[in-house]
Amino acid sequence: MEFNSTKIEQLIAKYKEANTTLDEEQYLQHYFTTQQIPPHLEQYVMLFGYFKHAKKEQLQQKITLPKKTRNYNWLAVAAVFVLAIGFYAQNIFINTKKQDKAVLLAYQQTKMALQLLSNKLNAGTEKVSYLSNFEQTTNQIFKINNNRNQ
Amino acid sequence: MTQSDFLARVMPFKDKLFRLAKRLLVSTEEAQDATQEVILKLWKNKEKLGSYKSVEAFAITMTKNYCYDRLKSKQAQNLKIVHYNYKDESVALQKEIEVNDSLQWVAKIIETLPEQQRLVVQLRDIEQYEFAEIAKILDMQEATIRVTLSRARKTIQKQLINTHHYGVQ
Repeated sequence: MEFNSTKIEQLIAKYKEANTTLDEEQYLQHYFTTQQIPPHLEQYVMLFGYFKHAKKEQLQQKITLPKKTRNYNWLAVAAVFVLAIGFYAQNIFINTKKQDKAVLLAYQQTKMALQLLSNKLNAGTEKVSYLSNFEQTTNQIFKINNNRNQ
Repeated sequence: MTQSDFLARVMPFKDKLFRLAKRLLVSTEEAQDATQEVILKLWKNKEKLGSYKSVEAFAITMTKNYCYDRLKSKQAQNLKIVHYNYKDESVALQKEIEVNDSLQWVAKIIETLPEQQRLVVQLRDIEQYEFAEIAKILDMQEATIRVTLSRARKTIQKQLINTHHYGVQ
């Protein structure tokens, strides 16, 4: 590419007024980063050199995206639900256990009461069994009487 | 839109977002965070991406707004962004360091410009967008952009002559 220093100076004047096109700016950049530059324009070497250099800078960090944008709110609801059910079930379980114990106690108490009752009753029946002796004797007597009557 | 589709659309301009964020926020870490944040926002609104004429222009506008917000909150907290990343880690040769040092002068000069001028210089001189595109991205008149850019360019050039005469050499 041919570079004409008067053209370059014109372009720079235009550049400073921000009236250059992208192509013209590219042309300037190319000129200042590849050619031998006269001393009075040397500051532009730094300028365009920097622009060229700055465009090469890259993002070093890796971009991380969330694996899946799934809504996890329902999970919390479900967890609370499961917990509630868990507590409820546990409560019922404990209650039935308590109830079982109470029933067992009542059963034992009834059994004891009944046993006591039957003991006393048995004692009673023993006494009553003597009555059968009376009967025997009365029978014997009545038998005799009966026989006599016949 | 799957994740790989999305990345395929976003990857071509992610560096532009990063460079713009860095131009405004100066710190590399801050700029990385900003880029990540903007891309994440795009991902969350991925269903709407189809309705935008240019996702790239939209993303750049988002980055600009995000950085402005960051700067505002920094100012409110009375904090200054610390920047210590002028030097590239990769540079080994002495000559390259020298070249880089002189390039860093330009970076420092640009940093002293007002935010809007920095934005315009970044979009025009570095990313090489047409004025019409910049007008759309920044929601400004083309004429205003030209004026802003011209001011920025003149300031940079003046500063460069100064450093050229008294500073570097």
